[in-house]
Amino acid sequence: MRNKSVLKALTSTLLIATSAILSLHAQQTQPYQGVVGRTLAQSKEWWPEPVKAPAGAPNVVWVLLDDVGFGAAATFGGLIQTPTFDTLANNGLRYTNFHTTAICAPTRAALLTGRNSASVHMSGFAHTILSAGFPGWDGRIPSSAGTIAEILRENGYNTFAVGKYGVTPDEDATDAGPFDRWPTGKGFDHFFGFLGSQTDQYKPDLVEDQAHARPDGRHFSDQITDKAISYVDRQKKAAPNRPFFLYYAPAATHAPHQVDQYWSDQYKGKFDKGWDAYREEVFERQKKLGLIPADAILPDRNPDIKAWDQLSTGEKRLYARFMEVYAGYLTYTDFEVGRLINHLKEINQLDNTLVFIMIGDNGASKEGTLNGDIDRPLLGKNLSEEENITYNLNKIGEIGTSAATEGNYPLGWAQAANTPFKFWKTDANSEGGTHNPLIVFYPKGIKDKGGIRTQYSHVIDILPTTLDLVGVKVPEQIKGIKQAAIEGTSLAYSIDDAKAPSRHTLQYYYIFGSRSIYHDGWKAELAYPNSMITGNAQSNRPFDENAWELYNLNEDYTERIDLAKKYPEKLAELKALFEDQAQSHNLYPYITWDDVMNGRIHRTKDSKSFVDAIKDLGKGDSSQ
Amino acid sequence: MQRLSFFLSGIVALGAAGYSADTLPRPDPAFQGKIDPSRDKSSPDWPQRTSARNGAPSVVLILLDDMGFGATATFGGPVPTPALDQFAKSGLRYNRFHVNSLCSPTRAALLSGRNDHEIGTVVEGSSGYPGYNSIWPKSAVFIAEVLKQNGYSTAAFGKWHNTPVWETNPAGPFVKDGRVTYEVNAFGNRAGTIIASEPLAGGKARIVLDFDPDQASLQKDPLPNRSVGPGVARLTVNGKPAGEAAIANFGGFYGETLDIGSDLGSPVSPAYDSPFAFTGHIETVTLELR
Repeated sequence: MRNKSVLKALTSTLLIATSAILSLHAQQTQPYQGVVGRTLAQSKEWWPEPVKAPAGAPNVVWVLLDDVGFGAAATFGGLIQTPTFDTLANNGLRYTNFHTTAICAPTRAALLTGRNSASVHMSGFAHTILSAGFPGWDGRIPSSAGTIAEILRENGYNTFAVGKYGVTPDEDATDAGPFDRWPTGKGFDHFFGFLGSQTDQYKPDLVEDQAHARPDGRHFSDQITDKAISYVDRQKKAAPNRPFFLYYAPAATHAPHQVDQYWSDQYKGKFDKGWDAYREEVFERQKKLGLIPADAILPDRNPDIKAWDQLSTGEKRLYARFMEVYAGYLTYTDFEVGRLINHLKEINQLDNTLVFIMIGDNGASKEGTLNGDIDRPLLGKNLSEEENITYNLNKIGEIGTSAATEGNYPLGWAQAANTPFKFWKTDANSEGGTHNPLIVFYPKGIKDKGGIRTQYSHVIDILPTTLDLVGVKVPEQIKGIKQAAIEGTSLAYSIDDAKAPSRHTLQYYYIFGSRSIYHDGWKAELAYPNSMITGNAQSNRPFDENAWELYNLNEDYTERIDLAKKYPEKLAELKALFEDQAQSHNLYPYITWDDVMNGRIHRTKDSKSFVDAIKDLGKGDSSQ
Repeated sequence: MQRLSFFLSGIVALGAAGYSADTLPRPDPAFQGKIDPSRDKSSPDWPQRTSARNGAPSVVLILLDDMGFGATATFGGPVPTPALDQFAKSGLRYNRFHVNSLCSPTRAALLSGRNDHEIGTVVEGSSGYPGYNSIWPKSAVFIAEVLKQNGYSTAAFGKWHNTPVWETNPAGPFVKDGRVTYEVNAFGNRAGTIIASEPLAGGKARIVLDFDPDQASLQKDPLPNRSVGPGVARLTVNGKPAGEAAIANFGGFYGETLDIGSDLGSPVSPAYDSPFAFTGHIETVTLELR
């Protein structure tokens, strides 16, 4: 017995400390209210109240698509059919002034935690070569920034995630874990998907819960939808009254663009008119639908993008096919979301479900380079434009198939998919990188069905909006760890009030050099030209840290007229504000694409060159 | 006296940070580098994880079920247990070791290093008192959690028996490995009949019984009397007995599998007859063809 008391004494500090601060666990904090006598006859039973979601709390579904520009989906004026999104938007709300961080992992980290990406250590990625040993950059979301899943789970929800996760450090993403930075370590009861940034649609680097799994050969979106449905069904069967939270994040429409021909064939010939005509038509549709201001002006083509009319016949044929496949890929993604939504309807859950659809975690991707990509790695041998076109034309039949392991459309189409904005994914300076469609669907909570909301908003706002609408408070502690403040602003105020002034009035953006700051309709921005990302060595311009631009978005929605010279004081004020934001959110030091490509960050004795290391990012594809 | 708590103390001492006062999970470590707007003037630092002590051994804990002191040859019994002999030969035999004389209390005590009433088991025999409610208190952390947060990988295989019965939700439907699962909707208490939603092809039937763990009904009656059996589960096909399986005397039926062992004709509408008494509510019955 002596040993036992020794053990007790030695561990009591730990245990008392642990139990005292588990403020989230209602079961543990309720004082015992029964009577304990010596015999049963002298006693009265009492049971702690199980943790329950607020009465009538809705299910919550977050859908986050990957690499989709503002002007792609028909729901927001694009020419790609998205009937599921149409239905949800027509019975919910379109938010037309919603923003992401301009790249994937920062957006996802910000979304899951309701805090800015730098605040949660994800200014870059959780990948070895894209992280650095600084609080804003180490790619390790701290436990002081609890996720939506941790919060909802502790408030009586079951929590499921399917699809892309993208914020688990490379070093942890093995079958040995540790698993605290896997989805299951961040509050999800179940996870089915992949942990990295990009994966093959037919041979995904698949993970289920806490172990790698074997893909079954079907399209990834098909598999994750089935899994999501099965998670929901299993839960509803066991506990019909308990709400669930589902985070549905397909790999689509990130590269590789791979989709059954059934979907791409529906767009045969539809894009022969080219990307200039697409931009003009979409721009008019967006105006007609009231999605952009009536006085907005379509900006000129981005530098380096050729007029469609000047392309050769071969180029036109090639590029149109790339877009047919992309369009099929997006429509198919909409179809899979539709399967999920229809299932919720069939099991009578949809009316009590709060759905957020974020059409893109950033703008349309420029990784397809000027000529599109079928199977050449991002940093493969640098071909001239002419060689590249010939190479792709020889393989035109493989576009969209499982052989198109790097499938991605050319920059001209990515620009068109970002209509009405300039530039692309990774351009944190420009709305083309950061401005994405958002749909909020909530049958029992939205009266203005089909309404449009123009309040400025950002991906960090989704968590507080969700908690607001389901009636759950942000905990002060999670598992004994004091929580940092939520930085997003709930959008609940705008649900019933189309004209409410924006409450989110200040927002910084920074992705590996490109940066901007938004404040009350004004925006100062600094581009970071980078040939690796455009894939166009000829367009490489040196970075000029004084090349800040200034725009008044209230009058110039599409960032056409640079006011930097006209209002230098305004620019200076915003630049100072940017520094202030950078400092307070742990964004320092400024790390750029050049630092990444020259291996100046995260150096270890095993450091590989950037080119070799980036090949590892997709190695899961071949290991299956 | 050698008791279960030895295990926890011994393992923790062997493997990890020992008994140092600590809070788990540990807070994120403070940044020790230097930050400047310029990368060149900054120096990096990475949050370090706690790793297991250098050379810390792997730990395997084997617990057999329902076995007396004199059964194994290793301890003088009649049943040859050569693998256990091997362990004992190159290790130690403890001959004054004790358990709790029942399964889930022993397991709770083993895993937590605390007496079973501090954990509140037996699972199926729980009642609304702190020593009996089967709700494992968060204040009694168990071995896997401690080792995991000290750099170990952890896994458990086999019998668990320390989760409150109303929290062991049914996991079905199971559709994998080419097996077909037919799901049939709920029927009421006690004896009932189920009709498969699709014709069943021929094969061996397996019946999975699940209680309804709906929290709402548990609120009213958190622990309905689930002590049942012994009894017999019968499968009836087209009104004729098609097989039966004995149900042992036990409490909950969560995910309990009964192998009926009958060949079904095709197509059939199987019916399930449940003559034993219980007051829980059966939500689904799954017929799985194998």
